[in-house]
Amino acid sequence: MTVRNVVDVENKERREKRLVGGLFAFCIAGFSLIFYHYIDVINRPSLPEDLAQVEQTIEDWHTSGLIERFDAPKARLVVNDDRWKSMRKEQKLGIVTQLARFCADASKKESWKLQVIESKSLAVVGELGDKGLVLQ
Amino acid sequence: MGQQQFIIIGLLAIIVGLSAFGGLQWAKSQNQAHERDIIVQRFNILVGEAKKYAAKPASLGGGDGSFRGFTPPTKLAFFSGIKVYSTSGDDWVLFQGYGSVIGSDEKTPVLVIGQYDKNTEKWTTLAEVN
Repeated sequence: MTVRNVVDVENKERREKRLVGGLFAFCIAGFSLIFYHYIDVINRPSLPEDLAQVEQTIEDWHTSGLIERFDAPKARLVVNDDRWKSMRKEQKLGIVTQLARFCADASKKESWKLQVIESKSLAVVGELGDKGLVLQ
Repeated sequence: MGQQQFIIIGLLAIIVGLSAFGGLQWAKSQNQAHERDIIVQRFNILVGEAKKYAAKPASLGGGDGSFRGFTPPTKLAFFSGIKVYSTSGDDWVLFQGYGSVIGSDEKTPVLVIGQYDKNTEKWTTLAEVN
């Protein structure tokens, strides 16, 4: 029969408590990263390669409040000011390019064109035209 | 076995799960980065084609000093799962390149957008969209 003194037992308990604390912190950090990844995925606008699927995407953007009006024949997109400003530059470039290609395909034109206008300020915040792709 | 040991085993099991998830995400992001690199490489090849087009006179089917009207050769634009669409103006050409692997949105393929300027001979835009 082994004999353990009180100090040894207390030290062992302290070590285990520290280990549990460390592991718990690690788990919290891991779950936070998963949550951040999930938020990033759901907030990222999807840009399907197939133009037949773009109409559904436009509907989704309408529903989410990003787009207020979209006129394919005139190649004009009216966006919500705040939602547009909150987006990353890469996402804006992706939307302008994809919708410009969609408009060109819909109106059977060679060159892609699109103008993005904010609904409140009426400022042109993005354009694909004679000067190429320009974002303000 | 004490209660604390059970907690430690439970937490370790969660960490193993989290590590597996992290490893999978890392592998996915490596795959996506590789595909994006291939797309950018393809853009560079297509810029070469656009320059060749601009250097040709209009009588030989070229752009006569302009990128306008440039259409990338199908065998270069659509190759091994990579699809590159393009449009052009007088001194710029814009590429939209899709890959074959699913991108960061976990729904659609990886997407890179690049715009090349003829005057500065530089990429004015090179964005990894997805």
